[in-house]
Amino acid sequence: MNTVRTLAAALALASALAVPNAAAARTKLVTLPGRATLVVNLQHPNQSLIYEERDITLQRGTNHIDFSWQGVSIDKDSIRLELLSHPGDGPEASKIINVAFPPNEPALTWQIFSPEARTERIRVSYLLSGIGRQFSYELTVDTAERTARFQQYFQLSNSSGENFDRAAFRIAQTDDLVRTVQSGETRRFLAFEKADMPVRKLYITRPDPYANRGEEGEIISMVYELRNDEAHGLGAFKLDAGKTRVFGATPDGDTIFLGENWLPQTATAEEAQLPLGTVKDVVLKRRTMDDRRENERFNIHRRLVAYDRVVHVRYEIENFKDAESVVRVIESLPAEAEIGEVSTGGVTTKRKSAEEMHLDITLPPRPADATQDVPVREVNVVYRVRNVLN
Amino acid sequence: MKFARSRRHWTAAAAALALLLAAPVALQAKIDLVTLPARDETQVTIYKSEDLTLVRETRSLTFDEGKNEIQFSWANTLIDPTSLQIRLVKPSPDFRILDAHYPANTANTIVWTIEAAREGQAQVEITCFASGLTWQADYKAIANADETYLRLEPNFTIFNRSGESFENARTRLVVGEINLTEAVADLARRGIIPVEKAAETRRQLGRAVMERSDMVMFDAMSMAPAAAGAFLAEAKEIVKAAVSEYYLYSIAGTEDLEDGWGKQLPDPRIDEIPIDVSYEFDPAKYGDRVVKFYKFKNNSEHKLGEQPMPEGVFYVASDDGKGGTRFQSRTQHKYVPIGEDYELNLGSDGLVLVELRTMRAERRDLDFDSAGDVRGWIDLADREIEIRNSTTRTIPIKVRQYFQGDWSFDKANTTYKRVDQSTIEWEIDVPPLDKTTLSFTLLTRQGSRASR
Repeated sequence: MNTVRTLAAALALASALAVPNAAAARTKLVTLPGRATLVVNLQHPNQSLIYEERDITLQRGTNHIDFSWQGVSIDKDSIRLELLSHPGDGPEASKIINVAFPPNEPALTWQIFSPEARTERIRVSYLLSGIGRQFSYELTVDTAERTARFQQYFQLSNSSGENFDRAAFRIAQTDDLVRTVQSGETRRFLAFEKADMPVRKLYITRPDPYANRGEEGEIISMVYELRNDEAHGLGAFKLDAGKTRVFGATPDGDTIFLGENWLPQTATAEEAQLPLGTVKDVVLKRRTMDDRRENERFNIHRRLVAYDRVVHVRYEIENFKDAESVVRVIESLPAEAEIGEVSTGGVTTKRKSAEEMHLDITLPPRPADATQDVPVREVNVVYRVRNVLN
Repeated sequence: MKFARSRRHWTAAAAALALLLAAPVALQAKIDLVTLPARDETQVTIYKSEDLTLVRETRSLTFDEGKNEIQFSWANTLIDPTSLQIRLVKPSPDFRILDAHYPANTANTIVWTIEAAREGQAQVEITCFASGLTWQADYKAIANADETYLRLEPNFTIFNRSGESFENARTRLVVGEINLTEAVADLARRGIIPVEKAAETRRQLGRAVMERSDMVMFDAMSMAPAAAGAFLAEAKEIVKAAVSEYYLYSIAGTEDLEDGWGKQLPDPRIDEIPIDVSYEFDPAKYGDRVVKFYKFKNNSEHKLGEQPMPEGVFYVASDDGKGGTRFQSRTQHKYVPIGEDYELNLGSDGLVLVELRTMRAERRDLDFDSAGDVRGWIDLADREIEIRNSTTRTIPIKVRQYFQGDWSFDKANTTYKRVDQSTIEWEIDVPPLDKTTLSFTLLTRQGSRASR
């Protein structure tokens, strides 16, 4: 047994035949069956379930199967043995009688009864620590920025101490990836790919009224939005969180790096946004044109106790791009704000919640005549907050 | 205890029982060993809630006429000396237990004096409390690919760290919360203590444990397996029985419980337990995550219900549709009485999302006092709870929300249940790849408007 463990380094499975007790079984190795199948199931976000199948020779009567490991971290209580060739409870079935755990060493011994001498295929499964996994993505958008090639990569870092020789790595996205991964090795697989996936490009700004950015203008982010559904060529599985690098196709057929961000975990039918960089060709200035009290109420000492607040916000937007652009302004509001007047014409508004309103503002391209100034588009929003307590 | 049966423990002198003949005066340390009586049977009853094992063994002793002294000693093992008891298996007027004493300057030794009216043989039973034997239940639960059925594989694992090995021991496991005034291991380390305190300790232990253990013993003896030797080929049957407030798992035949080893005894698996998949959103318990559950009951409808199930760790997996299994969760589950629910917490699968929103807020009905100050008002909020189901099946979900103060619902689009004064609960089904929105208006009365 000791010799076998040294050779096998990490995991050893040994069959000892017709030995009277567990202790003896551990010193009377007869066979070391090879792995017939080895699967590494990585569908759980952070647990790795290993299962391996082996053919062992059982003698009639009681047999002892010794399973030990060194240099790897196995959740001992997760270890499970299945008898695949002769399962069940009938008289012909092989049966597990008990499992013995020796003191102070990572090992266990199954006591198995077989009604006759025969070969039994067994499956041993267990949770193994030290297999890191992470997803990453590449998005290559076309020159029109309407579609993209979507690639999902799966990276496996094997620091488990175990060498996986032609193991089937199982993830939800694809067929089993049969690879050899040595301990200490990291491998990256292309797990999923979709060409011509529709993407939507957005300009989004969340003005901070307290930042006083003034003439500098608000920060506008360039965002790609994708949706994990069938219409977008996805939707077959949840997208795990991962770093996403976005490349853009150039007219000469090359690509350039546009930026990167973390794609959040995105369930089926959910959308995800990837903010990539700051937009410089669209300028938006937010001005508070008025913030006054109305309907003031005083106590007998002429102290203000309550009032209504009326706020007038103006956005001034210039589009220096040679194409029509849509800017989404996400305005934070007091929860009690009642929206009053909003500019119309090229503006759609949606109260996403009591504290947030979205204004999608469509801007024409800059004038073709370079001598003309770019027009400043003004959008006004007036809201009222009733019964503010002083 | 195992009384020096194995060679290893014979040399280690873990525990020894000696019959000392004709010792008319106080025990001398150098008195020769006369006989080492053979052990007839050993039985261990291992409790789960405390580090407590009731060890009971019977031996046949041959007595000389007159006073006989039985010396019992142990080393490297934790025995509560106050718990040691001896009794005649079949009471006889010819043999009488006179007393027990703990020799001075001799640790871990007790000597019983038995008076025999004639020379002859009698069977004695010795019991004691030992420390270091524990057991645990764990369960492998594997769902089918559709998550409609579950296969349950219970296992009972005994760990022996007592310093003593037990061979061919009848083994019983006790489920239930037992009361101990002092830990057995502490009593064992402390050794024998002054008489007045020892008596009290013994009384307390006797009340708390021994009587219950005796009840257990009586019941278990009646269902003892017939012949341990004949039972070699099959997985051990684990016979269950209720005893008072406890539940007893008796393992068929006998077991070798080697010191330092653990031993797992699989209980027969239960196939095709129908399960329900459901979700819960409860910020107080799970934060902002939606948690998935497998639910079933410990009853006959679910192919269970014959006995309560001990607490233990569940390793939950499901068929991965490719001939293997995928790991779902490792979750601790409490003791489940017959008829009670199992709720296996699988964590969040990321496929069901809940979003909370306030769509409109208003402060109204201001109340002014005589000085013109605001002394009360009502906060109104139109709220929405959007539940999005990315799975391909209809999912039942339980949603809980908590509110403080003098609050009420003005309107709600779905039936809800008021659990207590601060908790509202919805139980609804969400269609596959769809969403459901719960909406309601929350009125919170403040200041003078509040009545509670």
